[in-house]
Amino acid sequence: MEVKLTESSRPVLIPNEVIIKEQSKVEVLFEYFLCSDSKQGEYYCYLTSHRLVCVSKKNFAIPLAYIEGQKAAGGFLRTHRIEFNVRIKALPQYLHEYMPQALMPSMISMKFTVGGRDEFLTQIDTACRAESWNKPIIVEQKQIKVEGYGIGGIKQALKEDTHDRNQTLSAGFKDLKSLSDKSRELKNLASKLKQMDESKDPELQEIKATMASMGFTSGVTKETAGKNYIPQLARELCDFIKEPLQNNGGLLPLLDAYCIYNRARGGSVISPSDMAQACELFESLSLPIKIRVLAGGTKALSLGGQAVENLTRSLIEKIREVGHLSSKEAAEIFKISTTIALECLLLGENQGQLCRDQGLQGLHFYYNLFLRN
Amino acid sequence: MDVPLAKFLTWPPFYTLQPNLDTQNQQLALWSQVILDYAKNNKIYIATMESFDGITRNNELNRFLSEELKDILFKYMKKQKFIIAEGLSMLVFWQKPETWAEMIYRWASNSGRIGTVETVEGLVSGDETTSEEFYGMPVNYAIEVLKTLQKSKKAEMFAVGDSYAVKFF
Repeated sequence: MEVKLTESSRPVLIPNEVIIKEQSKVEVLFEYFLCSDSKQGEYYCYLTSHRLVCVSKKNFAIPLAYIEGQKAAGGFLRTHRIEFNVRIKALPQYLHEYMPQALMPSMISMKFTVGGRDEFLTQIDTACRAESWNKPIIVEQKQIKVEGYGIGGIKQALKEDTHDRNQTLSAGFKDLKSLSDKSRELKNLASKLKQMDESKDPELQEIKATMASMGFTSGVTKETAGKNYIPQLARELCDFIKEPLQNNGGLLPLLDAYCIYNRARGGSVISPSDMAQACELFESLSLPIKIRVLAGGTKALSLGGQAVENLTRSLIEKIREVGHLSSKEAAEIFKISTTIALECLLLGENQGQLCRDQGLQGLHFYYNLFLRN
Repeated sequence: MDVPLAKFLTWPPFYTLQPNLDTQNQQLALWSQVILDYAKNNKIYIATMESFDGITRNNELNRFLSEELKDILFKYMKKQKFIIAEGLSMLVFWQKPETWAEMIYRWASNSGRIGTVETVEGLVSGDETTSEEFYGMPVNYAIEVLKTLQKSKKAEMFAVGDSYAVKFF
């Protein structure tokens, strides 16, 4: 019954699992065979292609395979409800790891206190009928026919491989609709490429880097999340952007974050205003990422509160060591964006720790010998 | 101010206007020192903006003071009373007017000129003062210096025709 969550309280998805619908404020009631009912309280519910995941202080998930006889209840003068029976069945082998056997109630009643029942029910019906969990995980394991041996054979194999990849990519880019459909396949390709670690080919390395930044098949959309779109977007963004942030010294300009996130979403791009609204919520949702307005007016996402100060401190250390740095040099050394580097250097200047030299080679920053002799 | 100015003159940021005001103030103070030292070594009493090009440009570093920074620097020096603007040129006081005045008064009393009248021109370019430090001082510069003596009631200036004379007390 228990369920793994990400740091920002969204469910960790099973391979091939997709979130179909989200609904807030659902009161859940368990009915056990020959026992009294037990009220579970109010939940935030995710309907995925594989499970019904309910998140609150205590979380639980019911495999869709167990759900039977779902029907609408309540109605005139009563709160809308969905009721269904739970019957434990054998699940495909690979799911055991994600859905451990547990004590299940015999019947569950979900009370939709803020509406949304009918759509939720339709989606449950569809998802149960689709039986996504019975579809095997597609792992491309193609046998490469080797005709001939030696270099000729290798060349032939490589050619076939490239051809297949090209087809996948060109079909994927035909239009946005098919891009979203293809995203899963691309993701598989990406993870496959990621595993080819021994390869030293720079071109392949580049493809790998690009593919790795593409990437999830179940982005929050207005359709799945409805009213909770922005808060859920904030959570997902937070989960996703953590890694890019760590790779960039804990700071990313908002614009860069927007681009990285949207590229990962593939077809279903979010608007800048959605992004801005989601970022505003970071603090109230007590997520670990903060949005900061830097001295020069640049908005940036920062990991923890002290990222700017820490970065500035290390930049000053570096300048004392090497004499002077331009924002571009600083960006290269610390693997951060030039915007952020410049912001930090300007902060150092404001604090009186650094001073500037405007020469023909551009703006360079020095340790401030005027004030710190 | 005991700062090794030579070190700053070979340091690129010295030639760029610093936006941080604390830093800028220190920069202007150091530059003032550079300008006054230069004026003293080259006996520049009256200067124009161009008089200091020899020191405000560093060809080795390929750096020079921008017009903006020069402008700010001279305004600062005026405020600090290091220079007095006079038309298009300026009087550069690498010694304070009071210090000059003391020198002149000391000469006057040592050579028994108290109570007598001297022309200002004779004072700075006559045969009597060739060995004094203030010898060679331009007349309008000397007038600014004597004004401080007049203020402390040690001398009085008056016009004789189109030149000036001074009487020491």
